[in-house]
Amino acid sequence: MSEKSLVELRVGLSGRIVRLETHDETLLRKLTALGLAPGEELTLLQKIPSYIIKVGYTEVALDRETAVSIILSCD
Amino acid sequence: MGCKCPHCVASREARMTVDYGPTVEEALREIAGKLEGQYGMSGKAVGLLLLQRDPEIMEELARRESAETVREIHLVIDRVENALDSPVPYYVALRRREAAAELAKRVASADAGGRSPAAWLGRILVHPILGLPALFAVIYFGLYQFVGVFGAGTLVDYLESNIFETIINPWVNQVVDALFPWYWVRELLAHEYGIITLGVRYAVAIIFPIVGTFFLVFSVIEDSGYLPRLALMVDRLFRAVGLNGRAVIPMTLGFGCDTMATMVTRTLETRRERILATLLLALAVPCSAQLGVIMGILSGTPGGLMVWAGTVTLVFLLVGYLTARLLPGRGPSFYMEVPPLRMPSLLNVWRKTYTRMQWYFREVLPLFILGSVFIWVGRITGIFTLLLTGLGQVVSALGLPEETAIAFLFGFFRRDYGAAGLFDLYQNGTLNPLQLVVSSVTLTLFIPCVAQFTMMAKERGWRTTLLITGFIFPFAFAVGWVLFKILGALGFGTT
Amino acid sequence: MMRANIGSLLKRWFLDPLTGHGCHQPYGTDGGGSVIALVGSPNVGKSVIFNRLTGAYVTVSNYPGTTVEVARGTARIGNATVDLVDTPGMYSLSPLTEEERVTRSLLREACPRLVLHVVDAKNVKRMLPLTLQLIEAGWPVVLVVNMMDEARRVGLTVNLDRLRERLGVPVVGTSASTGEGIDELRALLAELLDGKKAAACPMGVA
Ligand SMILES: Nc1nc2c(ncn2[C@@H]2O[C@H](COP(=O)(O)OP(=O)(O)OP(=O)(O)O)[C@@H](O)[C@H]2O)c(=O)[nH]1
Ligand SMILES: [Mg+2]
Repeated sequence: MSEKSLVELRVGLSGRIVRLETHDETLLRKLTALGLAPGEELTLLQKIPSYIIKVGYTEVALDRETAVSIILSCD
Repeated sequence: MGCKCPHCVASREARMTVDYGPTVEEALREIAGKLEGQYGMSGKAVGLLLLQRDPEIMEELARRESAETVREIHLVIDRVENALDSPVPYYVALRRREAAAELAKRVASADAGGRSPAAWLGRILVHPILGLPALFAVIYFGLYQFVGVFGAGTLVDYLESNIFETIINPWVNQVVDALFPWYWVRELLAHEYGIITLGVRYAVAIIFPIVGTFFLVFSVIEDSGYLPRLALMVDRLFRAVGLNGRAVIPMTLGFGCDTMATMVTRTLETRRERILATLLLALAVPCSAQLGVIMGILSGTPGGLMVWAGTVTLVFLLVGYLTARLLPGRGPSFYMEVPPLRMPSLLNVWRKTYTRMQWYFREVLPLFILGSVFIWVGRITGIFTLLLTGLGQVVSALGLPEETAIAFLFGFFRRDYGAAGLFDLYQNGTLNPLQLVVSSVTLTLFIPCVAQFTMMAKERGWRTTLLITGFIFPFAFAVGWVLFKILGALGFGTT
Repeated sequence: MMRANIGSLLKRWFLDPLTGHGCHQPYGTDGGGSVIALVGSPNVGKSVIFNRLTGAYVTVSNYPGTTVEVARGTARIGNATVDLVDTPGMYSLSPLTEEERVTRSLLREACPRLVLHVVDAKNVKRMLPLTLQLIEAGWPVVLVVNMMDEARRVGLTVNLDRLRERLGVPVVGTSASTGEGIDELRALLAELLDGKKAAACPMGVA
């Protein structure tokens, strides 16, 4: 069990969000609105050209800067 | 109290509420107790927004409540902020999500892993390598073959030569000449610049097929779910011009109609992005009519088409890059929901294309007719000649024959109107390949049409709009001039 | 379709500041506006439902952010003709973009007769927070769980009865693009609009 940010996760693997590490309150609001909140399980689908993750039945595209702030725990 | 109607389980107590924890709940009760004004929603909701320092509600609070109450409420907000160890909006959102998650667990259940259809195709479209041929295929078949070759080629040719030139125009000229003995009335309705022979002809024979085929293809693309995928593919590129992937939708819609696209820039988050997108749409995104006509004109000179596309793309990137440097602020982060691919429904594609065409024509036809009338007035009073001489000089500096000035003058009325004018010149063989390229580039960059200009003013305000057009006008001609010099020096089109 | 709301904008900018605010009724009493509003996250099918109910056509596309301005139309529900508004999608009641702001203002100023919250059946968990927020604000919420067809296809079932019971608001399931559930939705709306009693009740009593 270790903590890492989304950019360190390998494509195809999953992790559970433990926190969102950013001081940008707007970004926090956006991410939670899209279903990215602590406790959620996500799967990383690809990194290039943009990050695509799957949370529940939703796919979300993100840029790298945003991906950095998503901290996961994975085993 | 309470209601017995079948669906109303709903006296208010029966409706689900979220528990925000003692600190917040206490604060909410306190705030709700102090509020006197009407806010159009419950005291609890107002209180929550106040705790999150919602700017709009804060401003209303200051207007509606006594200074004393405002002060007290601010104290409550400060207290809550200090007591929680995460930002209030985040805290509140999480509590609400927890309640929702708890509920969702009880109502939604997944059985055997069904798979969403077309998932593999979705993966290919956003693949870092395979995504490029996919994009190329969409552009080649959708835009080039269907809009360019079929719409702007086959359909326009048919309507122009088989309908207007051989049937309608000669007939209108004859009838008008027979009915009206006055030269100027004849000229208003028919002949070279007449309302019917020019205005209506441009609208129906040139613009209609091109815009129609574009909107049709665009509808299919929109309904399939490809656009959000394109957005994430080009996010990095768009970042260079101060936008992000989100801007793909207004930008690609601009290839249909820049006026419509300017309105859609609303979906962008910051004022900075909206200004950048508006500028780039006005400058370097040709609308479908323009695009179709230019593709038609330059199809004979494949090298010319490349030079045109290259120059316009370069201008897009360069101006975007420099403006993004100039405007304070930075591009916001990119996040977007990617919906599943869906099979476009024929009915929806048809209805959407039809509605857009209807909108477009309501916007276009009057302007085309007005354009004809304007030119007519200009010719009677001699202003037209005066303007043409002035513009003619500018145009000659670009190495273009003076007749192109007419096309540029038309360009003021409609982007496509100007392009259609060029098309005429091209068909008469007045322009050589070098001149075609230079005039196509200049006309593409040159001034937004009247409708787009009005929309810009409505969406961005007059000051920004005037600044943008004030920049574009000289800039377009400057680029034309530079291109003329460079291509001339390289001996383009002389071989 | 594009100019539909210039009038309402004018009203908001010029008239409302003079007359105080759109909604004169104290919160929680019946007798506000007569509008039915369609709200919800982007790309959940609000505009398809609007088109189904009104017979008009507003743009429907498969990406978030299709609708950028409020569209108004009328629908025949039961024996009554009611005004329906389609709104730009919003993720929460704290607006991030201009269109989200517009939707919130509309809800606050129009005193809607009913607020139809449209959600995607595949993503109820993500969308229910807004339902809770709308209920919290005191609006007469009806939950429309749309895209039931897609949920079925991915092997997901949503227990509407339990949802209704828990939330304490009317709930109906639809697949707007195939037309499934639209008749039920109409019937439900007719019932809710029928007479003072039903209309007043979801608001509770002040
Ligand atoms: N399979 C399926 N697709 C649906 C259903 N309802 C809507 N859609 C599709 O979902 C997409 C979005 O529909 P819209 O009505 O434009 O969504 P909206 O909520 O108005 O979206 P915004 O205007 O962006 O807020 C379209 O491609 C619709 O065809 C449904 O019940 N089932
Ligand atoms: Mg919509």
